[in-house]
Amino acid sequence: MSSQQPQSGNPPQGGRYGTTGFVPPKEAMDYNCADCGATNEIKSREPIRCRECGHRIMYKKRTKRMVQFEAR
Amino acid sequence: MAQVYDPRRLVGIRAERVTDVSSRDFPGHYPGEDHSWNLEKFRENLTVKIRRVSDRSIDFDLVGVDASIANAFRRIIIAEVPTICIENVYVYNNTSVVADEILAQRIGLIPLNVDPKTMDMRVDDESTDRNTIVFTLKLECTRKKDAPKDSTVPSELYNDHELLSGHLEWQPAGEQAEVFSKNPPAPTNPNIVLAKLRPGQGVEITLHAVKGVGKDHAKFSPVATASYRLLPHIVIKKPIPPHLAEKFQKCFSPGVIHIDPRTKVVTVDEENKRKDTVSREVLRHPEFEGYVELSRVRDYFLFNIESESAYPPQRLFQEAIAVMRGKLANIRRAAEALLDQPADGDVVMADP
Amino acid sequence: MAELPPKVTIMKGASPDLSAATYQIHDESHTIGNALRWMLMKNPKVEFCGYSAPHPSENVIQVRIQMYDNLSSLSALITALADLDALCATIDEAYVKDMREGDYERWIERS
Repeated sequence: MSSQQPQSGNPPQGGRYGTTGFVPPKEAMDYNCADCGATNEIKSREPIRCRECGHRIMYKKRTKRMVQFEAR
Repeated sequence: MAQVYDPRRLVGIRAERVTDVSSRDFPGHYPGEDHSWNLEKFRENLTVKIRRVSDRSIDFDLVGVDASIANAFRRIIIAEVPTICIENVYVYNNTSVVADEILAQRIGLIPLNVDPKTMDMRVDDESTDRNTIVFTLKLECTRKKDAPKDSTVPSELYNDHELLSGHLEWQPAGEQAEVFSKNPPAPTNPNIVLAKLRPGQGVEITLHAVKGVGKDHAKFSPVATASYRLLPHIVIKKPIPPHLAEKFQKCFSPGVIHIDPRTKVVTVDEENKRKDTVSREVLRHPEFEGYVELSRVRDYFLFNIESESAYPPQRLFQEAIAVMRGKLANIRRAAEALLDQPADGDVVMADP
Repeated sequence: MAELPPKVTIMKGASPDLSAATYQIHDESHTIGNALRWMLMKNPKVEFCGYSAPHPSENVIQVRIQMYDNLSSLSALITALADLDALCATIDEAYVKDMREGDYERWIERS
């Protein structure tokens, strides 16, 4: 079984993540193009389109958290 | 001249069955004979003969012991002689096509060169420099700038396109740098492919290696195989007709049957009869009926041990004996503790 | 860590003088079971000896010993353990002796 390490910085309390509802972060996220592999910065509500090749399928990047396994 | 064995020592091999499999050397089995345990007699009867040794395997004969003893050693070598293996895998990044859990399992199987004598068993997940060795594994595949245009060979196109066991890097902790200075921990084989990579893919992993035994997980088993077989014994009852000599020879493994080039007299090569697989081919031909008797010697064990760990193959059998003696001492201590309990008919019994 | 169960226990139904008893040995298998059974059967005072590994879910073996002349099966068990240890020592000795003599073929094995 794998277990994820709790990240040192816990999810921020209040603010954007207030109890009234989830508001997506305004800053850009990195995605990988499914076709050419280029890294794309895409902000929320921006068109999903690769700047290099115009492909419309993107992959999210792997988690930066450490994942623990038993070698069994 | 053919070797003669006491018929009681032989396991008969017939066309479709084996006979006299069990040993019968117990007190009370043969009237008027003493078969009680006698260490002196055992010592006299015992033969250990090492035949062949390489840096990976050993062949030796163990003669004069019961199957239960030989089997105990074989089982201990496989399941209870400890080795060091990677147990915990901490994946910080793995963008290769191999899934984390698959990669973790593959990494666990890598044999390491660490002498288990130098480490303790880890108990209760409490890691110290005495029971845990840390490795890191970090690699990223990149495109080669000067690759030939028309090449399709990964090694020409990319740098670090294979994640190998040799990429493991030992991180000394505490007194380890001193203890392992002569023989730094590493895989016994640096060429094991763990994953294939393409540009943009990479891994970053921390690994913890601990001591364990094969009965917990097969990765801890120190051997590829540890096995024994019984010495084949072939008796030619009456002379083989010269015109059938070659056919007779072909019924056995190469080297087992000797034909005199001049007289065409067929004999069993006593040095090489151990090579026979006892295929029983000879028993399928009606023309050889009554000419030959096949058997195996019940107390003649031909051991073969292939080490796949830090142990040199010669040491494994001794390690097994040491483990066995440890187990016996442990049980004996517990049994002797029972002696001290009140013996006035009030036996302390466990719950059913 | 949870406390370990006792290594050896005498099971219910043993005769009061222990001339017949079943011993449950924790964390052992056929490795010890068969070897111990063999050594106990080598004792002329043992009327019967057998062992079993009752179920894979229980990490135990059970060794049944019945003695002649109302002798103690517990002392027979302890003697057998000591004899097995002597046997192991003898085999080790013989192995080391032959290894020292060095009269064997050495060969190169490619991996």
